Amino acid sequence: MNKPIASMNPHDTPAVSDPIMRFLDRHAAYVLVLPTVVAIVLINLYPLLYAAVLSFQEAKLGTAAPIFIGFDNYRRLMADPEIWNAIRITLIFTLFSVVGSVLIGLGLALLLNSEFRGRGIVRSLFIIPWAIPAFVAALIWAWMFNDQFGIINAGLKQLGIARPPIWLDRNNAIWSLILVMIWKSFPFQLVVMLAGLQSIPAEMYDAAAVDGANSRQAFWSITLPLLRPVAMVSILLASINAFHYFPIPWILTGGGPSKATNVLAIEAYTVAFNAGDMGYGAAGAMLMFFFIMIGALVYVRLYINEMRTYEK
Amino acid sequence: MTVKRKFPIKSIFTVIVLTLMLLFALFPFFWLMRTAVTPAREAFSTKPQLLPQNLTLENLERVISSPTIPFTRQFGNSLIVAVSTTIFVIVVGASGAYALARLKFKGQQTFSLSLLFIQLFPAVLLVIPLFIVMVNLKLTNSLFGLILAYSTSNLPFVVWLLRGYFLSLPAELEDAARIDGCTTYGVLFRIILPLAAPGIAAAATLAFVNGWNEFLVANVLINDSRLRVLSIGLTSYIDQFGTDYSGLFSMAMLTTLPVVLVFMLFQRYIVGGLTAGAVKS
Repeated sequence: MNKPIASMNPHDTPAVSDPIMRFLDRHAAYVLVLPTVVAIVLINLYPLLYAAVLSFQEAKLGTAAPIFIGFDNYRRLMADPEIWNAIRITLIFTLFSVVGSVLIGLGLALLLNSEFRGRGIVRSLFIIPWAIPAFVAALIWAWMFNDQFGIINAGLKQLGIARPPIWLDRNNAIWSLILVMIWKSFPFQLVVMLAGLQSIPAEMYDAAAVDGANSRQAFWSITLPLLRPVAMVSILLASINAFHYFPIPWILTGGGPSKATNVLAIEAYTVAFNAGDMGYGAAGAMLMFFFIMIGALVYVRLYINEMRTYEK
Repeated sequence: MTVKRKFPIKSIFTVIVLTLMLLFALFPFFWLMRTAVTPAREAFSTKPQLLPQNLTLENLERVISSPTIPFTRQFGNSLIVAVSTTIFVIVVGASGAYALARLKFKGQQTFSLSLLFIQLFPAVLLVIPLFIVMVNLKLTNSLFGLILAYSTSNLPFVVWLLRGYFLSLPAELEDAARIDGCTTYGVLFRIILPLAAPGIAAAATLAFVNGWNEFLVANVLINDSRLRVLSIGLTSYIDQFGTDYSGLFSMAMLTTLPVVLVFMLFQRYIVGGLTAGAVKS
């Protein structure tokens, strides 16, 4: 690991004649990091604290000053069946979309890790879903899922399926939503897994081959264990992302039909902006933050462990 | 270096899987373009054909010159917002990342860790208070407000990615420059930034794409149709009483093409930058 240059030590600082420049150079670390700190405190930390305060208030959009009501919003959350429904749906959405995108990403990474002609083009074609704006993705998929004009059911009818499923009805909507989320998020997994695979030294496979291991054994005892640290981090990041994902559910189903896809992000948003109940919406968002914090703690632990392994 | 082939690429299995997965990955994009260049009557058939019978640019022309939904203006707004956001996060983020990677200051550890945590705040959590703050600052319905919001939401990951990239650069060059009398700023601008160009390209591409594609914050902060960005502008084609699908998908295609092109062009750097940022931490 590179050691930081000891620029804070005045003896190491090169002689600069102008005293202002000399001052700026001596405190370069603070000068350089200050804009980042200010920006993050103002637009990230301040609103976060604001949300925390708001969640203890009765604050309605466009009415008089907010009133402090203690834990009332949280008590209301605990007793609110919509919230429990939203938590259940969010967990299903997160679990299946992450498992799906990780399996597809890993599988494709394994296939694309071998060398063949046109690999670069195939790889860049695969990441197109990542580039497509989420709201456009949701619009196209809704259009493809359409039961009268949609291409998917037209294709299924061509194949002889007389009564293809209604993709966005009460029972199927959540699975259709998960499919779209998998489509949108597997390219990230592919890129990260491929990077992880390429960092595994080829000598390890050569050594295993000398010892008489077949490719399946090599996969289980070299590829997977060495990929694990990268995979753990990317799986956790994907879970956190899916847990608070908003645009695709919002446009594809809007939480419906009859709340069958009402994830927490949509629930908090509709309470705050459609019902105008900012305080209660903020409490819902804080609940999400609490869940994500648990994931984040695991994430940071993994990151610190990673750092230690690399430093060794 | 030869990578051991666990699945020989010649095998039919691999080819079939890759083809099917490419179809899955690309079909929606194809279908978007197909709908945009097909005459409305044909696009809304109950028996849609894979390939259009008639090609037309009529939908695209109609969207670009629409008097009610000012496309060129909204395209310009998106461009202003995405480009300003990118410049802002790269200038601020590169300095911050350099301080984190190479210099020492009080609270460095705490700050690194809090950057990690901040990336995990749910957007919905921030958007509620952000809206109230922006109302108080009179920055709703302002492109500047949007740029400010996007810049700070992209800053943590840009700092993190660049920090990883800077750490992967050899320190010897900097030491040499310092011995030659370079100030910290001289080292940053003359040595580090040119060397880190691929990492900066990766961070800039991702920031640009995020700024161009953002939906939630823009939806909350901007109401005025002349100040709308493309992501919100195209929802004007959705109407309870009858959505103009040809218009909607034509505008969606015009919104998507630029980012897909940027992404394809810089794809190599994204992969490289993410690798350096993820592995060197």
